[in-house]
Amino acid sequence: MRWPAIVCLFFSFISICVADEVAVQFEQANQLYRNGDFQQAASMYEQIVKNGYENAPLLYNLGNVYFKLHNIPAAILNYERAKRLAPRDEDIAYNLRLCNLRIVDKIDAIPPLFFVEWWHNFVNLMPSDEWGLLVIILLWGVVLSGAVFLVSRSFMLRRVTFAISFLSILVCVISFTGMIQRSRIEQSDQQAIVFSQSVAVKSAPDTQSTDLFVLHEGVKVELLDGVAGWKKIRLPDGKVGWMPADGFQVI
Amino acid sequence: MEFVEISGTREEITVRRIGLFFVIAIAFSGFHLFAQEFSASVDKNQIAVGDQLGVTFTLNGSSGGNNFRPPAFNDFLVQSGPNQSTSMQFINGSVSASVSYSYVLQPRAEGKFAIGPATIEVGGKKLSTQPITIEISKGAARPNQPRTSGQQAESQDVGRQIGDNLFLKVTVDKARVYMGEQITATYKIYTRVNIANYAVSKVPALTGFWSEDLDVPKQIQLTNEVVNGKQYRVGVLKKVALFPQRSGTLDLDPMEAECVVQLQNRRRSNDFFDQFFNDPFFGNVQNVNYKVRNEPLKVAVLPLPGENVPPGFSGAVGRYSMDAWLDKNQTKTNEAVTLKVKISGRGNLKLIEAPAVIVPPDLDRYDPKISDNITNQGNQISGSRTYEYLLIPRHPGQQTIASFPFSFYDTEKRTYVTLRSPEFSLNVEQGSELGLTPVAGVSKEDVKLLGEDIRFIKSGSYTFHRRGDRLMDSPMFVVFSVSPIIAFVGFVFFVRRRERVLGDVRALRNRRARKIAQKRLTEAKGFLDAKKKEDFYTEVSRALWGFVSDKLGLPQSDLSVDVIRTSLEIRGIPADVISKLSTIIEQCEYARFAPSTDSMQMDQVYNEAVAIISSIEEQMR
Repeated sequence: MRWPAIVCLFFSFISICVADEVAVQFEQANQLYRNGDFQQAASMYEQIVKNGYENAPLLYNLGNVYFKLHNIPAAILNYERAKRLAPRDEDIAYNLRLCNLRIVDKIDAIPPLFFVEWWHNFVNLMPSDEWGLLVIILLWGVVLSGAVFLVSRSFMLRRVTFAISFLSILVCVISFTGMIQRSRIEQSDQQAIVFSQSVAVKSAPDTQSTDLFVLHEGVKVELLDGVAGWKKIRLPDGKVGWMPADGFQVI
Repeated sequence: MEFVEISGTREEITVRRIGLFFVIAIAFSGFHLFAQEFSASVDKNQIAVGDQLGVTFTLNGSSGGNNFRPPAFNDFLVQSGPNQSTSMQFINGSVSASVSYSYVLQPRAEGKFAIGPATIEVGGKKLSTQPITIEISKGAARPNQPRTSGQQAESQDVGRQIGDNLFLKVTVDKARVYMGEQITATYKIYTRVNIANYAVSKVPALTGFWSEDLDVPKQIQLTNEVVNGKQYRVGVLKKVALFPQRSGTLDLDPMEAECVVQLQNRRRSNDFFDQFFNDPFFGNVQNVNYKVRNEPLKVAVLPLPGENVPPGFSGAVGRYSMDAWLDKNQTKTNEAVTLKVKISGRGNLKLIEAPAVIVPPDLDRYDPKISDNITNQGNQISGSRTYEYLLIPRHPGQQTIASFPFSFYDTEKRTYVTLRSPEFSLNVEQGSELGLTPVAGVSKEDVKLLGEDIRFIKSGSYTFHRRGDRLMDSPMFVVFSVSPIIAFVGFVFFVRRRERVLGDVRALRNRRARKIAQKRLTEAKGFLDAKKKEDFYTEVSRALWGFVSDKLGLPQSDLSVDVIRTSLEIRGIPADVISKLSTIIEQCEYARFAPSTDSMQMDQVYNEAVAIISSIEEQMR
């Protein structure tokens, strides 16, 4: 079969394999971490990120460094970024949960409708790259089984290949939707982590307006709207208010 | 000049006080007007001289009337009153209220006396009570105080003797004040007689005022003062700073004092005025117990101006200054900081409320500790009041305590003044106990997890890619997702074409006709070489029939020599080729069943068959 060759071709294309240079830097940073030099490790990881490279382990390690430096909001920010790239990674999820226990504000999210939640969980099963790969694989599956269906004289074989291609088309459409949805989540700049140690969320974009509630560092908020210097935010529990735009970092 | 009422009675040195009495409200009469009823009642109708009598005027159905005027208690001594009490009841949503004014009276003499009507104004109506008649008997009720007519005469005599030579008087420094402004009331005793001893028997209640006693010397210092052309020795009994709590006309209650007056025995000297110059040590001096009380005084209290009232004003009147400070500007989380607000000056210090200090929500603020440092010396209440706020920062960061106001009414400038505190900034650093900020709602399981550590970093060889590079954005995605579709379409096209070709059997047979015929002829040639005459002719015959059948697209069963002849003619095959074909076919049929044929003939048949097939093939291409 020519499939492995194609898959390999993909990866070689999308993951512009960077040279050892980055891998070496990464390994050096890991070594610094192991030696307990978190400050140095952090700056090294950050350098890699600044150069425009990313992958889930890099961001995960960066989150760990910040955790060790007691910078919980930065740790959460990087874990969240890592989680976007690797939604199924158990270590990332574990450390993120641990960090969220250390922040001040406990916010009980409003649970979404069960099928909405299922769909979200389903979409978050894979990053968009994997969804895309699945789409391509399934497309080829449809084509192959369709071809066999067309040329086959055997009744049984025709039945089986028809079922395969029909299912493949269905799953392919679902995967395509999943890929679009997932990529929207990945590209979203609508989520942020609060970095201000404590910030009063106002009822209007104005320092004189009423304090609605107080947020502390590390809280994940959704950005809704903005005027100069102010952002309208929403908490997972549905509370909405305005806070200064310099108080958070977009995931 | 002020008029002073002297009321006195002669009693034993030991003052016998009647402690308890009950006021039983018995409505004697009353009239109903707009559901308001004003009635008078006494606790008993028959009393003895020296006993006490309780009189109550009750206004039902209203919580307050104006202009209450008690009757003139000419035949009685007012021992206490008016004591006002208000009661309100809410029953099933309706309000019933009553106001009562009660007095304690002591009759002056025996006989039948009437307590005249009292009047009050309610909603513009004037209500009055019915008079009540009281019968006062001789002092039978007080057998331990037998009074003879002589003694009574003497009592009247004493009253006459003392006359206006001994009285109490209250003065105020101002008669019209604003609510909350200080008035200084001074109770003085004026005397032209010798006083052996005195005791204040009734301290004024001073309802409607917040009062603070000002320091007066324990030992009364007597000064001289001339009133009405007579020189009196004057002593200050009591000095009190008063802060009116409500506007309107407020009464300064009378003060009562029991004085032991040294009177010269009349038997020794009949000269009425001699007594003032007599030395008690040399004369026959009689100690007489004498009660004095001052006349009540009214003070007009104006409400504070209603214009330009600052929003935070809470009733402070006087002259104040405010100081506010933080004990430190740097602290750590969970370490307390103290914000002190000191208000100092003159005025109703004890009545001022804590300024509204608004602290950021991250600071826990506790109720202020209040400490007063108030001096009562001089004529003014002055000093300071300090509010101590304990603040505990819970989270690190720069905290700002906004400037807060303190407003008061300045009694000298006659305006409202608002003072503002400075703004405080407090730098809070992370305290030592990291992550131990008190968080509500952490379950036990959470606490257990807090003790755990994060998982270790990932190391190994990973591929890195540029941020934002995604499969679905790359052209490869389009290529790889469109290419199977194109390939599929191409495959379907190919299959269709192949099927069409396969499906056209006639065309196929036409194309294959010569091939099959040649194959058979080759077989026939084998039989020819093997001299198998019968097989040879059969094979040649089949080759020819099959060839024609394939070429014409007709099944062999439908074929006959005639059909072949006509069909080939239609297709424009030359007649000689057709006749040759039919001749050979017939020859083959004959030769198969003929006994012998030489091989020469067989060769000829074979060659002709080959020639005919190729010529028909050529013609029908």
